[in-house]
Amino acid sequence: MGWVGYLLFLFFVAGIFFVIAIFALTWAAKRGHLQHFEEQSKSIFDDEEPEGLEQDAFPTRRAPTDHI
Amino acid sequence: MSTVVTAPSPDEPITSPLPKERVTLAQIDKSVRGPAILFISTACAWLLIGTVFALITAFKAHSPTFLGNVEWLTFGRVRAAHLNSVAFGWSNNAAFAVILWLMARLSKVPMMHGGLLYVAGAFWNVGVFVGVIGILAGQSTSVEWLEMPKYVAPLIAIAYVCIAVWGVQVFVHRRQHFVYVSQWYILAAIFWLPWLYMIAQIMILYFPARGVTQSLTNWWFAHNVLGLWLSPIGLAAAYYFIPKVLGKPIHSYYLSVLGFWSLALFYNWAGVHHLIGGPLPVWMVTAGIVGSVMMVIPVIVTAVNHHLTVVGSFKQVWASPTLRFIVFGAMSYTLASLIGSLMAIRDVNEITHFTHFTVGHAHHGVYAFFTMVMFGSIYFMMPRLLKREWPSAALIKIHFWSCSVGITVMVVALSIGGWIQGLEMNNPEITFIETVRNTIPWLQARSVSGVMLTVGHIAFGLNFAWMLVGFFGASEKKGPTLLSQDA
Amino acid sequence: MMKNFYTLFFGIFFALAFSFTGLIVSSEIQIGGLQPTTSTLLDDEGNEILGTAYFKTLEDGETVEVPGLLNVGEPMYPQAPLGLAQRGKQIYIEQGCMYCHSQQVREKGFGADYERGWGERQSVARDYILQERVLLGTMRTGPDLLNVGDRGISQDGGKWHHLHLYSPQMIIEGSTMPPFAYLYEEQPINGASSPDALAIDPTSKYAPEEGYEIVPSFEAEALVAYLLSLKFNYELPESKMVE
Repeated sequence: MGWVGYLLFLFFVAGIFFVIAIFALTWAAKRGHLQHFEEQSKSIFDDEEPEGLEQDAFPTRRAPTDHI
Repeated sequence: MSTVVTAPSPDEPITSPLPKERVTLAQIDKSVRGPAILFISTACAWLLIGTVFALITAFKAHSPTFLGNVEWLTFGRVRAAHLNSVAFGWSNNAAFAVILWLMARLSKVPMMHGGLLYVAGAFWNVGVFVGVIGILAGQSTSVEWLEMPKYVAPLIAIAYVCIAVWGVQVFVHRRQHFVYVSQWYILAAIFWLPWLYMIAQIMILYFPARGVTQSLTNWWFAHNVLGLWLSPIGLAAAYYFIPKVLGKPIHSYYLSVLGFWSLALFYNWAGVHHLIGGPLPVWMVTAGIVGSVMMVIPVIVTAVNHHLTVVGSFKQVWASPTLRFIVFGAMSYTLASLIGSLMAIRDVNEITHFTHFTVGHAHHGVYAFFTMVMFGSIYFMMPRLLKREWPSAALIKIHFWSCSVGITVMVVALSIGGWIQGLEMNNPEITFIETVRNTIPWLQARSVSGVMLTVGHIAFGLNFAWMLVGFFGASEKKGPTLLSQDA
Repeated sequence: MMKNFYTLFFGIFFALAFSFTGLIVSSEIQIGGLQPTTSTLLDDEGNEILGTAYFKTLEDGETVEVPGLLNVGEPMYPQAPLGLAQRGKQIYIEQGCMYCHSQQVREKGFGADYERGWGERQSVARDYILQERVLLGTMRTGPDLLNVGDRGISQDGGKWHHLHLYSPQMIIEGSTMPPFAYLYEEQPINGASSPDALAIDPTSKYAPEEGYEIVPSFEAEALVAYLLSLKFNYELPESKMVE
């Protein structure tokens, strides 16, 4: 492959990724997310693992159901 | 050490709301269980294999005649076998498990058609296995981070595409309105890696580019494997587990997004600092230096954010196996990245380039940061995937102490030894062989640290195997786990 | 603060596209077209010029950059490794020599590459254009090898290299280089000893049993041929020997 061919190839690859990016962008725009930015930080909590409840500790010999 | 939410006893006030039974989360966890266990198991196997190669390499560095007559285990091959076992075998398998599980959890939707991921896992591991054997048999390409013979690239690429598509698929079907910052890191990483890998394979191995464009592509790839693949995944895990385990949201979501953007912008220029002083146009190297130094921004932003989240909860961090490892990893990320930025400055690079300092730095990033975060993540995921507790708290502690002390010894020894080596190498009054002899004590210290890491990995492997045997050997225990007390 | 996904997706894409274009594509533009050249170039009046181009003043007083002309009759550099040396490079790659030996010389004043005798000028992009695999290396656990074929140790037709590869510790006390004895064969001496046999001191602990000799395999011959071919003793228009 000559170096001009190489350049064309590189631009071609960049083009593919560009198309993917545009596609993803359009799709994402339709969904219109991120209106309430800071609230997202709490999105990892829910009823089953609520905020304010610690989730991990060293295992003990006790059966887990004993203390739930 | 008594901590964490405990059962409400009559004489203690309830300080936290009690959780409901984990129906939805348990269902999501279960949907990822098979593939995740496959990836974590193979990751553990590769970790142990990679550790054996690492030990052989470390011993040979100061005792060259050790196994000196075995061509398959000559230094130049076993070093590459070590790198590829831990980078493609351990790190990536662990990363896949964490990515898939985190994506499903954050999207609040079970993984669909997870069966295909077994195929992907098989392809990946067969690819890496064949690749590592190829290296030992003398088919190494001698291109750093791409040593596996080029015929394994298609296997690895197919496996990767499956895994990436599944990660994106879960995201697309998410039931969660908000998109969490971890998901951004993961999505970006999933998108970046194939581009890096494909370009590097083509431009270096399949249709080699002319001259040092190869070297440039090589370091653009190799540094970005850390910067745009392993780092985002490590950070995604840290951004999830730190607030999750502590039960309080990340200090500033805004900062976390700022950190993400500055990382995306600057990290991918940084790789060229491996070629400072090399036969490349000066402006390219300068661009690499600028990118490396600008990395201070995302690193400080992330460090401040993590610190402000954790501050006041150090006791809880210590009580959680997950957070012990992850907070160690997050702190290492800060330190390793800042040292990395320093190493890109020409005057510093003049000393550290071509020395063991760089080797220490690589382990600082990939081990003290990424690997420790993966350990922490696995400690959190496994009990939820299998619905059973880790069999031994003692083994977890052995694992933590051996690995945290071991990697510290390694990074300190190689940094000091490498710095001295660099100073001496730049002083033509000192003969070259003299500089070599003076590195020996530091390389021996590295071997000692390697033994410590091995102890930790064996403890981890034992605990993991014990847990799996318990799972397959006994009927499923009922109920969610892991709200126990007493460290 | 971001309002929507636009910025996010554009950013994820452009972040990498930016460095890809900036580094890889532009490197290909700048380096991809380099060709071998004579050590010196001429201007259109036949005078030697420095660098790869010279400035010419046009009639209207403007100056333009003009590429230099080849100095016809002079040899072209760099030159591609041939035959056995090329096979030897493959051995060099398979054995992973580049994990301890770099092949690049930095400019005088940056490190001690020049003072250590690793090369009398800085290596530049053009030096590597004929190499199918570029092995710049990132470690100097051992010395740089870009110019090893031009050093004193290479002036005995490769005898030193064979002894050194067979057992580095026999030649350099305290060396941490791995031995490559497995690239050599031990054979009984039939009458006269082979002309290729390594001249190992029979009293040394590295010597073979009496009645036996050590001879290089094809791989070892190729590897040494490659090492001897590594010469960096020519000049390029853009990189001249340091005075």
